[in-house]
Amino acid sequence: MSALFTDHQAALRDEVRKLLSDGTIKGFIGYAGGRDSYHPVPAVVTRPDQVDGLILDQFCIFGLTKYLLDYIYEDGKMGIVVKGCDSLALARLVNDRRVDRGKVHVIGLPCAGVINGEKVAPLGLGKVRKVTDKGSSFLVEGDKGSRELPKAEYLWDKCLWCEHHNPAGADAVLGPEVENVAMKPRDYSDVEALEKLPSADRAAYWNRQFSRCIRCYACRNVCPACNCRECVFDIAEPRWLGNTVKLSEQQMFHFTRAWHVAGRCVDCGECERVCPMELPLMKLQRKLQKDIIKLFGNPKPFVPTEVEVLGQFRATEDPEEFM
Amino acid sequence: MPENPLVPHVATINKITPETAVADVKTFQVTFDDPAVMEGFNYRSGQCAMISVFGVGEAMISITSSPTRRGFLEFAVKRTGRVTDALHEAVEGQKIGVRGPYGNHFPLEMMRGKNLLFIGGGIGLAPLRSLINNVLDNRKEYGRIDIVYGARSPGDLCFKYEVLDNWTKHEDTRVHLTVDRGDETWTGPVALVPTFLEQINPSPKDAVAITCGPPIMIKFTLQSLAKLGYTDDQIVTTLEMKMQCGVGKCGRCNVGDKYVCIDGPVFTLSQLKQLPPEF
Amino acid sequence: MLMTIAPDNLRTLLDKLAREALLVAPSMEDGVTRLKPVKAASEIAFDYSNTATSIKDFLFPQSEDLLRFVTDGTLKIEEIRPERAQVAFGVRPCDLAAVALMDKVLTTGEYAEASYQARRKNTVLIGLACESPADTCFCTSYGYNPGWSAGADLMLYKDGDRYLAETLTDKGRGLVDGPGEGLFKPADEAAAEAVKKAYAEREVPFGKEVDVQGIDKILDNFFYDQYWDDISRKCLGCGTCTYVCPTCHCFLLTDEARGGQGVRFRCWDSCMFANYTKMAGGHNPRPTKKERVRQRFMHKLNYYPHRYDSYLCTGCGRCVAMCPVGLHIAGVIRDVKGVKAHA
Repeated sequence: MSALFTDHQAALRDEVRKLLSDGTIKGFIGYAGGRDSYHPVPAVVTRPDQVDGLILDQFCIFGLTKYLLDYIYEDGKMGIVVKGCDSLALARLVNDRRVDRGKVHVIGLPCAGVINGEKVAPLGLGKVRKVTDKGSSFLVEGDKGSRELPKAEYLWDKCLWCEHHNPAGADAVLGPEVENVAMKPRDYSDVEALEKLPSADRAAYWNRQFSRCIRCYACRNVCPACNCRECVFDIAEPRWLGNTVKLSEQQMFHFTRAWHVAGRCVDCGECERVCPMELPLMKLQRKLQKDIIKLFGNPKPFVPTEVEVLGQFRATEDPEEFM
Repeated sequence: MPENPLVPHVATINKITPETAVADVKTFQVTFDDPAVMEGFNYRSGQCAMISVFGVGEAMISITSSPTRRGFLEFAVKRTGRVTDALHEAVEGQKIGVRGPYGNHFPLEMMRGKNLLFIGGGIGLAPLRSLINNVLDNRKEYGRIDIVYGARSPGDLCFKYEVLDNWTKHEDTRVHLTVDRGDETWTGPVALVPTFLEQINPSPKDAVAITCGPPIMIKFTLQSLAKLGYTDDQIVTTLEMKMQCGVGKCGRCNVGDKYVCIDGPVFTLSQLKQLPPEF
Repeated sequence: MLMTIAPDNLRTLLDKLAREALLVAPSMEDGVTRLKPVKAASEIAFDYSNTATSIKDFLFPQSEDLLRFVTDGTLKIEEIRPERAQVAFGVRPCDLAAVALMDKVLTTGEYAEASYQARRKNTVLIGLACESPADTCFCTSYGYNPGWSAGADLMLYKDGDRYLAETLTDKGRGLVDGPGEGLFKPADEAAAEAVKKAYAEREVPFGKEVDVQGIDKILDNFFYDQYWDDISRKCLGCGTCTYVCPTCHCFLLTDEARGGQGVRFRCWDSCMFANYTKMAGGHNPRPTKKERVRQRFMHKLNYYPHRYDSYLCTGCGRCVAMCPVGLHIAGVIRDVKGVKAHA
């Protein structure tokens, strides 16, 4: 039985308080309560008196590693709590040479799944008092009601096929290791359904999605693979992407970003989760993932390696005569 | 159709004068194609206009000509970014867009009868030049005039006709030039403007100090003026922020609750001290 | 004038408007309800708290061409003015109030923003009172309420099996007498006032938790507070809050040209973007998130009130619902009220 996140909240607070007080870290990136029990938010604390605002519970989904880029030019270490998927995101930032691993104090949190707060919030259970792990379900007890939530329906999709429950290479770990077994095989059926559509229908589908895009750049800002010093879309001279909001520009933005991230995406799904207009961005990334698996024979392109498939060229092995 | 404040008028560049040795500053003399627009363009020293290079964009540039000399406008432009780059590529006879005038103006009313101390650095002399020529065209209305002007090197001094010649010839008007570093031909003072100012030691009695220049120069000049006994109300300066609309709608150029495009760019030091330090 | 209209007749009216003018209404697509042009009443969603994006999209579009120019040989400039008539249906009270706040900036003062003003003239606003405020709504904090109608040309209130309707302007009357002819019945005045009163007094729970009284005064002395440093760290620096907000109006003017001709257009910009205040030459007065987050909330709750006497927020709650990190104005108001200023 995996330990619940809340069981480690006190230990995390104690540890962070200690690390801040003795100067090991100058700040810690973790979670705090949001507008209700179902929407915890990121929190960056820099003083021991802020530590009691940190929480850890089974709804803590946010991928925090991108915040490390805010501190790369400053002295001192930043602490951070990472789940399994987050540790892949951290590896992405380290392998891309954007974050110096030596400047990060990683507290690992083995994870067997995060509850999808968006699905639970409408159930009317009120403020959550207790969450119990029942094996194939979570029992959520709120002050207005209780429900047993089957994991297969109430965890985030990415948790169901995750095989990286334990953050590797952490400086400290909260709780026991979780068996690295996926609840179900990685599912590409939605991508396959799109692939089967005639190209005009596929175009219509994506154009409809893109027409909702408001170019807020939340997806880019939260993505650990989007870590360029200066994003191509921010460059004024030459201006690669205009400021007009029309379909061609939305297409340019999303397809360019998808391709820039392809092969380096860690499948964290944060882009789709933070999108205020609910664009199915992970469908794009998972399509590319699926193609990379087939074309390059790398079964797990979402696990960062020293050099990614699209970051290398092997002249002698390339089946094509001309690059 | 009521006038759209964002639509520029067509103007022609009549004359381009490189100001600095490396021509990174050029003065553009411009007239509106429509004589009625030219006639009706009433501006005051300190105000700015939005210059359009169509296809590239707009930039807010202070008007360096004096409103006492009518029939044309002059803009001194330093090559800094996309729009100013494009302007520097322009040729005489080329057409641009101009809209304005925008912003508040130097407080001439407050300056009348007073001794005037102008302190400029580099291209910062451009807005001051409008004011200085304005004042000199009505010389009797003002007291003693001291113009302190410095640039990085002799080649960087702008408006050489005025600073080396014309302005020195007016009654009770002194021009004090300095450079940060000299060259083989320079025989004048070599000092940073704030230091130079303290050496000149102009009296604050019945005086108004007006200063424009790079932020770092302003910062130390203000300190020097305080040392010389100038109060916050006696000191006038200008702010610069990125601008888009120029008419107080796009929200971009605010410093606190003031919009630099309509409440500025001219501020006294006492007004400036009430604003948050975000410029 | 107070009238009633049956739902069927309302649909008939909306169908007519969709055919005769551009009708913008709440419509759900792929799980998201937002205001968009619809071709028939059947596309309209009636069961929603508020749309994801606001009426701002149609009065002050995210990008809009302002003028055409030709630079081949000589210079010719041609202004573009929006002329198309449009009707917006289903505009909630918070959005109606937001339009009034935008009007203050964009149409008053020495100049009026011409395109916005033209669109305002060409748009008929049909407001719709709120039956079920969301748990993120807090319009009541600012003195608005679920039945607030100021700014609407025609205001609708769902009342059992029909709608109460009130014409508030000539445009509203024109709608009722023109396309709406024969579809409206006079209302019993007393009953109608009771319906309006009930909506005005409808509970907005979250509004009780957000007290804005005097926040502008507190913020007069809050510029240097440590709070901005603390709270800004979790900001993602995206433009979500500014873009979904019905009162945010910062914009950019850009040219796009090819082969000697092009357009100058206006598009939304966000004070949350890093380059917002970056000048040519590289100087940026707001170089980090701290300055930008502070600017946003000072503008909304202190600078705008200084200039225009109201807060630049109507409690629509979109930023509360959609900010991915929960850094929203309701939270800031509560924090600032509760935080003791640091020395």
